[in-house]
Amino acid sequence: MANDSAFLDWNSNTEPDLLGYIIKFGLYPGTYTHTVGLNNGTPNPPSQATLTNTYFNSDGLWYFAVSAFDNSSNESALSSPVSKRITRTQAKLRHVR
Amino acid sequence: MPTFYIAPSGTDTPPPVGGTSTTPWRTWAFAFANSNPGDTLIVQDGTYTRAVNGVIALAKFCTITTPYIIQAQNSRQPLIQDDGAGKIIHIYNSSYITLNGLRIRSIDNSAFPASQNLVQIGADSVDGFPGAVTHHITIKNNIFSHNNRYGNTALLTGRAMNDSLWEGNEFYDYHRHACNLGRDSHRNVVRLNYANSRNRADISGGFPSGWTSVGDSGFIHYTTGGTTTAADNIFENNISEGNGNGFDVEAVNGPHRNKFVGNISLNDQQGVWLRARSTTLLSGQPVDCLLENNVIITPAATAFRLSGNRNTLVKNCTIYDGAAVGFLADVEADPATGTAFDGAGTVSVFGTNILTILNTTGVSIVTTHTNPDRVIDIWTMTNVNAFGNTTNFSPASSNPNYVSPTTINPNLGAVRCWIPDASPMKGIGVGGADVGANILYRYASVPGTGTVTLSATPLWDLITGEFPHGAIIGGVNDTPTTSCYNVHTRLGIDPAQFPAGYGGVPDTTPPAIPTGLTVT
Repeated sequence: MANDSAFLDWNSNTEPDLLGYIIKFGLYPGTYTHTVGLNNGTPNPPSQATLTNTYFNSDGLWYFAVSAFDNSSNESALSSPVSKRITRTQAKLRHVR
Repeated sequence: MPTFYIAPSGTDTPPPVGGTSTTPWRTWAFAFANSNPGDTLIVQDGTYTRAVNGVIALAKFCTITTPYIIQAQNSRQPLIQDDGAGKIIHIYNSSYITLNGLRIRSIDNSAFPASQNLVQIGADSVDGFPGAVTHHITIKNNIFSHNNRYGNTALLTGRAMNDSLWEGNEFYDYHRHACNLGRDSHRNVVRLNYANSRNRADISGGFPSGWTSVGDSGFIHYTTGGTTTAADNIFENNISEGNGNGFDVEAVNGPHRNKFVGNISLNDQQGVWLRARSTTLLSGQPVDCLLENNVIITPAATAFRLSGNRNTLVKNCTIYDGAAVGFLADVEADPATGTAFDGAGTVSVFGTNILTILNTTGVSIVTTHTNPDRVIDIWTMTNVNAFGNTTNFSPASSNPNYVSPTTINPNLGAVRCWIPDASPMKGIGVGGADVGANILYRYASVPGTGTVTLSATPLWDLITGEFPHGAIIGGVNDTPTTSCYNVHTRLGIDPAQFPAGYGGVPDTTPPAIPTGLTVT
């Protein structure tokens, strides 16, 4: 995966009323300023996602965590975080100019 | 409205001295003669016998605003003990009467081999009342048991009875029929009853029944001898366990337009059997009947059988683990003549969203026979899922009368009476419905309408999973393997398995925390 995007993958939850997942991410561990919801309308929502460079507004070490939610709007606690250093392609181009 | 009292050892003194809680009456006849429409007769605890208290022979025309109520002072504590002579309770030429909370039982008595039912509602010419009509009779929360096996006797029979409700009764220990809706009966509702014959076998020298080692049927609509075509009756949310036939129709004169909805057959020999009994007449066929959201679990013989029906519609039923055919549509022959029991001649069956699994044959439609009158003339089976049967479809699923047949593992887990949220049967049926039955909420059809109504009231107790039941009486309905109070355990009803949000109880349990997160 390129340095300007992030591919996230995790184990599927098994609750029968599972509706989707929420990816939370930001530049500081435990402080997540961005969210992305995943819900394809089935009891088996996808357990992986690609965040392209448009999701990131600055370069740096980004931290990611995932929660699950069900059809009663109950949301789990966040997973253990993971991190990746993001270097935006667009930013590099501006720097060259 | 006056309230009167009766007790096993009371005194028949006219009111105002007699009929009170402290000076109750003794005999039923005296009580009925001294009370009127609009009154309530409270039945005090104890054992009532034919010799001391007489029989409950009641003929009172009451109205919706002046009903007559016979009510146990303490639910199921009064015992009406018959001696086998038959009809210990007979309500006829009557309307708007309620019988609530009694126990009624008989004994085997070889001196009375005649066909006398233990309790009969309604009467006709056979009973000496030609043209009589009985209507709006409520029989609720009673326990019926122990028919006289020397006779052809049902525990509870309706005859020439209309617009009535039988609800929340329990039936035990019988060799013939438990709950029999008989001839000339219209627009009645039979609801939330439980019937278990407890392996009561035929008795030597007694009346030979159809199933010799168990009771013949839990719930039967038996219209032989009728002068009208019985119609528009509804059987809803009843449970039959350990009977010959769970739900049985013998169509001699009707039924037409009958509905069986939300019923359960557990460990019966046959779960459901609707059968024609005429070789020539439309009135001798089940016609325009509906069977929806019924569940048949582990029958010892054919699970679900439609013989000689016309335009019967089967929707969203689950047939589970039968020892023979799961769903059978056929035409029987008159054993005396060999002529087909196909009524007026056209036999038709239509099935949608049926789930039939783990039987010897999932679906069997008789389409070929040496007698051309013994085949199903018109049929379609739409969105039927047959899985894990020795033979899933007969004829084969390539027959064009099947529409979208499937053989998918439904993944029911331990659930039988509804389709779990995670099952692949969710939403794949006609109109986006599930394939299979969902028995979760109570039906609440109104007698007199012939129209099925499903309520939003949960059927199963949200905490315990129990099926609705009345008082538990020691030695009567507390046998743990054959009683109503815990049938939910034998049905695998587990509140932890209820669908999310069942009964309006908020689901506040969050999903598990996702694990194994990686990023690249």
